[in-house]
Amino acid sequence: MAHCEEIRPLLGAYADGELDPIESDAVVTHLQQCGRCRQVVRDQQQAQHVFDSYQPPPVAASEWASIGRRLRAELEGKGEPRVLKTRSRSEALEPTPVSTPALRPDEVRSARAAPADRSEFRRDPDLKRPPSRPWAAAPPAAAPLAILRPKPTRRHARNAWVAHAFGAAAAVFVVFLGLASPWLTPDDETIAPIVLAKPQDVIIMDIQTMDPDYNVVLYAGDADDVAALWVILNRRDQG
Amino acid sequence: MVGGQRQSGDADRATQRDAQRDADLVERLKGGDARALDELFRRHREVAYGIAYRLVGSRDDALDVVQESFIHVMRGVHTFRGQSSFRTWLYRIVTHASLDYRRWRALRTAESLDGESAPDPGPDQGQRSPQDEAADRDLYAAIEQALANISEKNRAALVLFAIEGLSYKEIADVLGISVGTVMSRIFNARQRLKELLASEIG
Repeated sequence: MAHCEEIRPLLGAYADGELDPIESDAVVTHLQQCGRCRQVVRDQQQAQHVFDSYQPPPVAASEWASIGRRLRAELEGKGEPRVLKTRSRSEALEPTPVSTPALRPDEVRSARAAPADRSEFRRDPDLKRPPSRPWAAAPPAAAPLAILRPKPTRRHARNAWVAHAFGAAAAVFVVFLGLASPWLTPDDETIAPIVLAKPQDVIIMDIQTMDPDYNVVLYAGDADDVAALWVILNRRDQG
Repeated sequence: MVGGQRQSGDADRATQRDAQRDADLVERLKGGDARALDELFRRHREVAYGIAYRLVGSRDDALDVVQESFIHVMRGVHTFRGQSSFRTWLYRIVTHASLDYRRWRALRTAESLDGESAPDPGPDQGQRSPQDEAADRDLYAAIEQALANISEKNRAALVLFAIEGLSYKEIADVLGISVGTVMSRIFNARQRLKELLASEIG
């Protein structure tokens, strides 16, 4: 039997009949043996029932007509300048499911065949809108294709060889450096010896015996921020 | 069962016809046809109002949201390419406009705490009969109070599910989230609602 933790997230969708048959069968099997999850299903149904009772009050036909007139005036550019309390945001644009191609084949064909003139959507020229609002201006003729499948501009295409040439030269230089590195390294290069702290520079801060049978390890304090570690064999090993 | 399948098929065909009609009207609206706007408004205003009311909790505010949503539709219609149904697009606009409106209202209420402009007392009962008002007032107030304590995201999913005929998949499209997320948001919203209304509904 599946655990409650696995089944619990499915119970709401089960109550709504939104599960596929396999998931639904798994839930049914679980519910036959689990009283707590049956109660959760009942809670979900009850909460939905209560929420369904939360109905909006009716609106008179005259009020709808009044709103309709205001919308029509807005469309025809005759409405009063209006400052909206809500924003048109990118989230409010047309939903595009991830699995859906940007344009269907028939849309691509129609977009290519469509006349470029979109001036049929006339608006009152006096109706000024801030330029930042994307809906203010009609899109250019080939906007759907241009936006969804941007092609490089002619200038980009013309200058592309410069980037390729620069990249190739850089690659050749790096390979050359790698191959020539044995000859480029100076022969007289010496490694400076490690400077050890003198005994008077070191303050012993702690001594710990890690393993009494073998070694004694002394932790020395730092001198000029350098920690030193001494390992001294005990007498038994030395013997 | 066969009857059920036939009914389901009929419903699908009706939905397709509605969607096609919407698409035709949208094309006409792109051309500035005011009658197309009238018909789109008439076809969808009630559902848009239902979403807005359940999210903003006030009749007058909900009507304002519906009006602004259709203004957004008019202004953005030329960007609508028909990749989703008009209905999905409109519900998305209404949902976001409602959430915007709630924030605007909260800000305005906070600014007018001196009492000059009293905050909305709750759901406006409009033209309901006095008996209905009396019967529903307590539960309405309790539900309204409970909804105010449910997160915006969960509440939006629950509200969209309350719209008849909107499946989890359609809600996912409206909100731009996965079906699994819709599932968990609705589940969590109802669990929270049940918890908050425990004293009213037992």
